[in-house]
Amino acid sequence: MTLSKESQTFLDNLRIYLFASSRKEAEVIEIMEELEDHLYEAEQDGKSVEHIIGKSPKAYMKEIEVEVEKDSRFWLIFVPLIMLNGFAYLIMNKAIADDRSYSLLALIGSPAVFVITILLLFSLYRFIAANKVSKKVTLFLYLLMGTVPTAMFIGILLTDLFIETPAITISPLMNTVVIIAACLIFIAAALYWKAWISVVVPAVLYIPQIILRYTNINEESKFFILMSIFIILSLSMTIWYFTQNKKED
Amino acid sequence: MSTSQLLKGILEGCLLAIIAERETYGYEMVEKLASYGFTMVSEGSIYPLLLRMKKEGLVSTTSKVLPSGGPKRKYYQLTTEGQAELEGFKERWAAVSSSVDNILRRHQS
Repeated sequence: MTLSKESQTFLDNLRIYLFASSRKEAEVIEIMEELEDHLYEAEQDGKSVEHIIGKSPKAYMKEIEVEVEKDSRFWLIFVPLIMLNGFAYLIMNKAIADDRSYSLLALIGSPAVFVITILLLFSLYRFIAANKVSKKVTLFLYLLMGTVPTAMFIGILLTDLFIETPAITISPLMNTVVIIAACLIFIAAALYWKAWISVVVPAVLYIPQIILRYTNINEESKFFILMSIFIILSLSMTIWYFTQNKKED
Repeated sequence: MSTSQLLKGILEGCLLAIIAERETYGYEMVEKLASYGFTMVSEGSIYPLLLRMKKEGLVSTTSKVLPSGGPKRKYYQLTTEGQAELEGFKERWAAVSSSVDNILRRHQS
Protein backbone atom coordinates (compact mmCIF):
# COMPACT_ATOMS: atom_id res chain seq x y z
CA MET A 1 0.00 0.00 0.00
CA THR A 2 1.69 3.18 -1.15
CA LEU A 3 0.33 6.68 -0.96
CA SER A 4 1.13 9.63 -3.19
CA LYS A 5 3.81 11.98 -1.92
CA GLU A 6 1.24 14.67 -1.26
CA SER A 7 -0.91 12.42 0.93
CA GLN A 8 2.10 11.07 2.80
CA THR A 9 3.39 14.60 3.46
CA PHE A 10 0.02 15.60 4.84
CA LEU A 11 -0.09 12.57 7.16
CA ASP A 12 3.48 13.20 8.36
CA ASN A 13 2.68 16.83 9.05
CA LEU A 14 -0.52 15.91 10.88
CA ARG A 15 1.41 13.51 13.09
CA ILE A 16 3.96 16.20 13.98
CA TYR A 17 1.20 18.75 14.56
CA LEU A 18 -0.71 16.48 16.95
CA PHE A 19 2.48 15.37 18.70
CA ALA A 20 3.46 18.99 19.30
CA SER A 21 0.10 19.73 20.86
CA SER A 22 0.68 16.74 23.20
CA ARG A 23 -2.36 14.70 22.20
CA LYS A 24 -2.94 11.11 23.35
CA GLU A 25 -0.73 8.89 21.23
CA ALA A 26 -3.17 5.96 20.97
CA GLU A 27 -5.90 8.26 19.66
CA VAL A 28 -3.51 9.92 17.23
CA ILE A 29 -2.46 6.55 15.83
CA GLU A 30 -6.10 5.51 15.51
CA ILE A 31 -7.18 8.53 13.48
CA MET A 32 -3.98 8.44 11.41
CA GLU A 33 -4.67 4.84 10.39
CA GLU A 34 -8.23 5.72 9.48
CA LEU A 35 -7.12 8.67 7.37
CA GLU A 36 -4.38 6.64 5.69
CA ASP A 37 -6.95 4.02 4.73
CA HIS A 38 -9.27 6.75 3.42
CA LEU A 39 -6.56 8.57 1.44
CA TYR A 40 -5.48 5.29 -0.12
CA GLU A 41 -8.99 4.43 -1.30
CA ALA A 42 -9.61 7.98 -2.45
CA GLU A 43 -6.42 7.90 -4.53
CA GLN A 44 -7.52 4.62 -6.11
CA ASP A 45 -10.68 6.46 -7.15
CA GLY A 46 -8.60 9.31 -8.55
CA LYS A 47 -9.56 11.94 -5.94
CA SER A 48 -7.14 14.67 -4.91
CA VAL A 49 -5.91 15.27 -1.37
CA GLU A 50 -7.70 18.61 -1.39
CA HIS A 51 -10.96 16.76 -2.00
CA ILE A 52 -10.44 14.93 1.30
CA ILE A 53 -8.99 17.51 3.64
CA GLY A 54 -10.40 20.68 2.15
CA LYS A 55 -8.54 23.73 0.88
CA SER A 56 -6.62 24.44 4.07
CA PRO A 57 -4.60 21.64 5.67
CA LYS A 58 -4.13 23.92 8.67
CA ALA A 59 -7.88 24.27 9.25
CA TYR A 60 -8.35 20.52 8.94
CA MET A 61 -5.50 19.81 11.37
CA LYS A 62 -7.11 22.17 13.86
CA GLU A 63 -10.48 20.46 13.37
CA ILE A 64 -8.92 17.10 14.30
CA GLU A 65 -6.84 18.57 17.12
CA VAL A 66 -9.98 19.75 18.92
CA GLU A 67 -11.46 16.26 18.97
CA VAL A 68 -8.38 14.29 19.99
CA GLU A 69 -7.92 14.16 23.75
CA LYS A 70 -4.99 15.97 25.33
CA ASP A 71 -2.34 13.90 27.05
CA SER A 72 -1.88 15.60 30.41
CA ARG A 73 0.93 13.20 31.29
CA PHE A 74 3.27 15.23 29.09
CA TRP A 75 3.28 18.36 31.26
CA LEU A 76 2.43 16.62 34.54
CA ILE A 77 4.95 13.76 34.42
CA PHE A 78 7.23 13.81 31.39
CA VAL A 79 8.50 17.41 31.62
CA PRO A 80 8.93 17.49 35.44
CA LEU A 81 10.73 14.14 35.35
CA ILE A 82 13.22 15.27 32.71
CA MET A 83 13.72 18.50 34.62
CA LEU A 84 14.27 16.71 37.94
CA ASN A 85 16.60 14.25 36.23
CA GLY A 86 18.69 17.10 34.85
CA PHE A 87 18.68 18.75 38.25
CA ALA A 88 19.77 15.53 39.93
CA TYR A 89 22.94 15.40 37.79
CA LEU A 90 23.70 19.06 38.49
CA ILE A 91 23.12 18.65 42.21
CA MET A 92 25.16 15.45 42.49
CA ASN A 93 28.17 17.12 40.92
CA LYS A 94 27.97 19.98 43.39
CA ALA A 95 26.99 17.86 46.38
CA ILE A 96 29.89 15.41 45.95
CA ALA A 97 32.32 18.28 45.63
CA ASP A 98 30.74 19.63 48.85
CA ASP A 99 29.83 22.85 47.04
CA ARG A 100 26.78 23.84 49.05
CA SER A 101 25.97 27.22 47.57
CA TYR A 102 23.24 27.46 44.96
CA SER A 103 22.51 30.48 42.79
CA LEU A 104 18.84 31.39 43.05
CA LEU A 105 18.90 32.72 39.49
CA ALA A 106 20.13 29.40 38.08
CA LEU A 107 17.75 27.47 40.32
CA ILE A 108 14.72 29.29 38.91
CA GLY A 109 16.14 30.22 35.51
CA SER A 110 17.17 26.78 34.27
CA PRO A 111 13.72 25.14 34.54
CA ALA A 112 12.19 28.29 33.06
CA VAL A 113 14.54 28.10 30.05
CA PHE A 114 13.65 24.41 29.67
CA VAL A 115 9.89 25.04 29.65
CA ILE A 116 10.20 28.06 27.33
CA THR A 117 12.30 25.95 24.95
CA ILE A 118 9.69 23.18 24.81
CA LEU A 119 6.89 25.69 24.23
CA LEU A 120 8.85 27.45 21.47
CA LEU A 121 9.89 24.18 19.83
CA PHE A 122 6.31 22.88 19.86
CA SER A 123 4.91 26.05 18.33
CA LEU A 124 7.65 25.91 15.70
CA TYR A 125 6.76 22.27 14.89
CA ARG A 126 3.09 23.19 14.63
CA PHE A 127 3.82 26.22 12.48
CA ILE A 128 5.99 24.29 10.02
CA ALA A 129 3.56 21.33 9.91
CA ALA A 130 0.48 23.45 9.24
CA ASN A 131 1.93 26.02 6.83
CA LYS A 132 3.75 25.67 3.57
CA VAL A 133 7.22 26.74 4.58
CA SER A 134 10.16 26.53 2.19
CA LYS A 135 13.20 24.41 3.10
CA LYS A 136 15.42 27.47 3.47
CA VAL A 137 13.05 29.20 5.87
CA THR A 138 12.60 25.95 7.82
CA LEU A 139 16.35 25.55 8.22
CA PHE A 140 16.70 29.18 9.30
CA LEU A 141 13.91 28.81 11.87
CA TYR A 142 15.49 25.67 13.35
CA LEU A 143 18.89 27.37 13.57
CA LEU A 144 17.28 30.34 15.27
CA MET A 145 15.45 27.97 17.59
CA GLY A 146 18.72 26.25 18.47
CA THR A 147 20.38 29.47 19.55
CA VAL A 148 17.56 30.63 21.83
CA PRO A 149 18.03 28.22 24.77
CA THR A 150 21.81 28.40 24.45
CA ALA A 151 21.66 32.18 24.61
CA MET A 152 19.38 32.08 27.64
CA PHE A 153 21.64 29.61 29.50
CA ILE A 154 24.74 31.67 28.71
CA GLY A 155 22.82 34.72 29.89
CA ILE A 156 22.17 33.08 33.26
CA LEU A 157 25.81 31.99 33.58
CA LEU A 158 27.17 35.42 32.69
CA THR A 159 24.78 37.18 35.05
CA ASP A 160 25.89 34.87 37.85
CA LEU A 161 29.53 35.50 37.00
CA PHE A 162 29.45 39.26 36.84
CA ILE A 163 26.68 40.27 39.18
CA GLU A 164 26.25 39.15 42.74
CA THR A 165 22.94 37.30 42.52
CA PRO A 166 21.22 35.96 45.62
CA ALA A 167 22.39 32.48 46.55
CA ILE A 168 21.39 29.98 49.18
CA THR A 169 23.84 27.86 51.13
CA ILE A 170 22.62 24.61 52.60
CA SER A 171 23.88 22.80 55.70
CA PRO A 172 26.04 19.64 55.42
CA LEU A 173 23.05 17.64 56.64
CA MET A 174 20.89 19.13 53.88
CA ASN A 175 23.68 18.25 51.46
CA THR A 176 23.28 14.56 52.40
CA VAL A 177 19.51 14.87 51.99
CA VAL A 178 20.06 16.39 48.54
CA ILE A 179 22.29 13.44 47.53
CA ILE A 180 19.66 10.93 48.69
CA ALA A 181 16.92 12.87 46.86
CA ALA A 182 18.99 12.85 43.66
CA CYS A 183 19.49 9.07 43.99
CA LEU A 184 15.73 8.60 44.39
CA ILE A 185 15.12 10.69 41.27
CA PHE A 186 17.55 8.51 39.27
CA ILE A 187 15.71 5.39 40.44
CA ALA A 188 12.27 6.90 39.78
CA ALA A 189 13.34 7.90 36.26
CA ALA A 190 14.68 4.38 35.59
CA LEU A 191 11.41 2.85 36.77
CA TYR A 192 9.30 5.29 34.74
CA TRP A 193 11.23 4.96 31.47
CA LYS A 194 11.85 1.26 32.17
CA ALA A 195 15.48 1.83 31.25
CA TRP A 196 18.38 0.91 33.50
CA ILE A 197 20.57 3.50 31.85
CA SER A 198 19.08 6.25 34.07
CA VAL A 199 20.60 4.47 37.06
CA VAL A 200 23.71 2.97 35.47
CA VAL A 201 25.13 6.26 34.13
CA PRO A 202 24.95 8.19 37.42
CA ALA A 203 26.14 5.13 39.35
CA VAL A 204 29.25 4.81 37.20
CA LEU A 205 29.80 8.57 37.27
CA TYR A 206 29.36 9.19 40.97
CA ILE A 207 30.02 6.01 43.00
CA PRO A 208 33.78 5.90 42.16
CA GLN A 209 34.02 9.61 42.99
CA ILE A 210 32.45 9.06 46.40
CA ILE A 211 34.63 6.02 47.16
CA LEU A 212 37.79 7.81 46.05
CA ARG A 213 37.00 10.75 48.31
CA TYR A 214 37.30 8.52 51.34
CA THR A 215 40.46 6.69 50.26
CA ASN A 216 44.07 7.82 50.50
CA ILE A 217 45.09 7.90 46.88
CA ASN A 218 46.90 10.91 45.44
CA GLU A 219 45.06 13.26 43.10
CA GLU A 220 46.85 12.08 39.97
CA SER A 221 45.92 8.41 40.42
CA LYS A 222 42.35 9.43 41.26
CA PHE A 223 42.14 11.24 37.95
CA PHE A 224 43.47 8.24 36.03
CA ILE A 225 41.11 5.83 37.78
CA LEU A 226 38.11 8.05 37.02
CA MET A 227 39.17 8.59 33.43
CA SER A 228 39.69 4.87 32.76
CA ILE A 229 36.29 4.03 34.26
CA PHE A 230 34.72 6.69 32.07
CA ILE A 231 36.46 5.45 28.90
CA ILE A 232 35.64 1.78 29.58
CA LEU A 233 32.01 2.69 30.18
CA SER A 234 31.64 4.74 26.99
CA LEU A 235 33.35 2.04 24.93
CA SER A 236 31.23 -0.77 26.32
CA MET A 237 28.09 1.30 25.83
CA THR A 238 28.99 2.00 22.20
CA ILE A 239 29.72 -1.68 21.56
CA TRP A 240 26.49 -2.70 23.32
CA TYR A 241 24.56 -0.20 21.23
CA PHE A 242 25.96 -1.53 17.94
CA THR A 243 25.44 -5.21 18.78
CA GLN A 244 21.89 -4.39 19.84
CA ASN A 245 21.28 -2.63 16.52
CA LYS A 246 22.71 -5.57 14.58
CA LYS A 247 20.37 -7.96 16.36
CA GLU A 248 17.41 -5.88 15.27
CA ASP A 249 18.56 -5.95 11.66
CA MET B 1 -13.06 27.20 5.66
CA SER B 2 -14.32 24.88 8.37
CA THR B 3 -17.74 23.33 8.14
CA SER B 4 -20.34 25.47 9.82
CA GLN B 5 -21.94 24.28 13.04
CA LEU B 6 -25.32 23.89 11.37
CA LEU B 7 -23.93 21.71 8.61
CA LYS B 8 -22.04 19.64 11.18
CA GLY B 9 -25.23 18.90 13.07
CA ILE B 10 -26.91 17.79 9.86
CA LEU B 11 -23.89 15.72 8.85
CA GLU B 12 -23.95 14.00 12.25
CA GLY B 13 -27.62 13.07 11.76
CA CYS B 14 -26.88 11.69 8.28
CA LEU B 15 -23.95 9.64 9.57
CA LEU B 16 -26.14 8.17 12.31
CA ALA B 17 -28.71 7.19 9.69
CA ILE B 18 -26.07 5.59 7.44
CA ILE B 19 -24.48 3.65 10.30
CA ALA B 20 -27.97 2.56 11.45
CA GLU B 21 -28.44 0.68 8.15
CA ARG B 22 -25.49 -1.60 8.84
CA GLU B 23 -22.01 -1.35 10.32
CA THR B 24 -19.72 0.56 7.99
CA TYR B 25 -16.37 2.36 7.70
CA GLY B 26 -15.31 5.91 6.83
CA TYR B 27 -14.81 5.67 3.10
CA GLU B 28 -18.04 3.76 2.58
CA MET B 29 -19.94 6.45 4.54
CA VAL B 30 -18.49 9.15 2.32
CA GLU B 31 -19.49 7.24 -0.81
CA LYS B 32 -23.02 6.83 0.51
CA LEU B 33 -23.22 10.53 1.40
CA ALA B 34 -22.07 11.41 -2.12
CA SER B 35 -24.53 9.00 -3.73
CA TYR B 36 -27.33 10.96 -2.01
CA GLY B 37 -25.83 14.23 -3.21
CA PHE B 38 -24.38 15.28 0.15
CA THR B 39 -21.13 16.81 -1.12
CA MET B 40 -21.11 20.12 0.77
CA VAL B 41 -18.29 19.07 3.09
CA SER B 42 -14.81 17.77 2.34
CA GLU B 43 -14.60 14.02 2.87
CA GLY B 44 -12.15 14.21 5.74
CA SER B 45 -14.45 16.26 7.92
CA ILE B 46 -16.40 13.14 8.91
CA TYR B 47 -13.47 11.87 10.99
CA PRO B 48 -13.30 14.57 13.68
CA LEU B 49 -17.07 14.24 13.87
CA LEU B 50 -16.96 10.42 14.20
CA LEU B 51 -14.36 10.82 16.93
CA ARG B 52 -16.70 13.07 18.89
CA MET B 53 -19.69 10.80 18.29
CA LYS B 54 -17.68 7.90 19.68
CA LYS B 55 -16.74 9.91 22.78
CA GLU B 56 -20.38 10.82 23.28
CA GLY B 57 -21.22 7.12 23.12
CA LEU B 58 -23.40 7.39 20.00
CA VAL B 59 -21.29 4.89 18.06
CA SER B 60 -18.93 2.05 18.91
CA THR B 61 -16.05 0.78 16.79
CA THR B 62 -14.35 -2.51 16.01
CA SER B 63 -11.13 -2.97 14.05
CA LYS B 64 -11.13 -5.68 11.45
CA VAL B 65 -8.25 -7.06 9.44
CA LEU B 66 -9.09 -7.05 5.77
CA PRO B 67 -8.97 -10.36 3.90
CA SER B 68 -6.80 -8.59 1.30
CA GLY B 69 -4.23 -7.80 3.99
CA GLY B 70 -2.97 -4.32 4.74
CA PRO B 71 -3.87 -2.22 7.78
CA LYS B 72 -6.89 -2.81 10.00
CA ARG B 73 -10.10 -1.06 9.09
CA LYS B 74 -12.30 0.64 11.68
CA TYR B 75 -15.98 -0.26 11.49
CA TYR B 76 -18.69 1.78 13.21
CA GLN B 77 -21.86 0.48 14.85
CA LEU B 78 -24.76 2.39 16.34
CA THR B 79 -25.26 2.16 20.12
CA THR B 80 -28.66 2.43 21.82
CA GLU B 81 -27.79 6.06 22.66
CA GLY B 82 -27.01 6.57 18.98
CA GLN B 83 -30.34 5.06 18.03
CA ALA B 84 -32.13 7.45 20.39
CA GLU B 85 -30.12 10.39 19.04
CA LEU B 86 -31.07 9.40 15.48
CA GLU B 87 -34.78 9.38 16.41
CA GLY B 88 -34.34 12.81 18.01
CA PHE B 89 -32.58 14.11 14.90
CA LYS B 90 -35.37 12.82 12.64
CA GLU B 91 -37.96 14.74 14.69
CA ARG B 92 -35.87 17.92 14.83
CA TRP B 93 -35.14 17.71 11.12
CA ALA B 94 -38.79 17.15 10.21
CA ALA B 95 -39.74 20.25 12.20
CA VAL B 96 -36.94 22.40 10.77
CA SER B 97 -37.29 21.30 7.15
CA SER B 98 -41.09 21.66 7.07
CA SER B 99 -40.95 25.14 8.59
CA VAL B 100 -38.16 26.22 6.23
CA ASP B 101 -40.12 24.78 3.29
CA ASN B 102 -43.22 26.71 4.38
CA ILE B 103 -41.33 29.98 4.61
CA LEU B 104 -39.64 29.53 1.24
CA ARG B 105 -42.89 28.50 -0.45
CA ARG B 106 -44.66 31.63 0.80
CA HIS B 107 -41.69 33.71 -0.31
CA GLN B 108 -41.95 32.34 -3.86
CA SER B 109 -45.67 32.97 -4.29
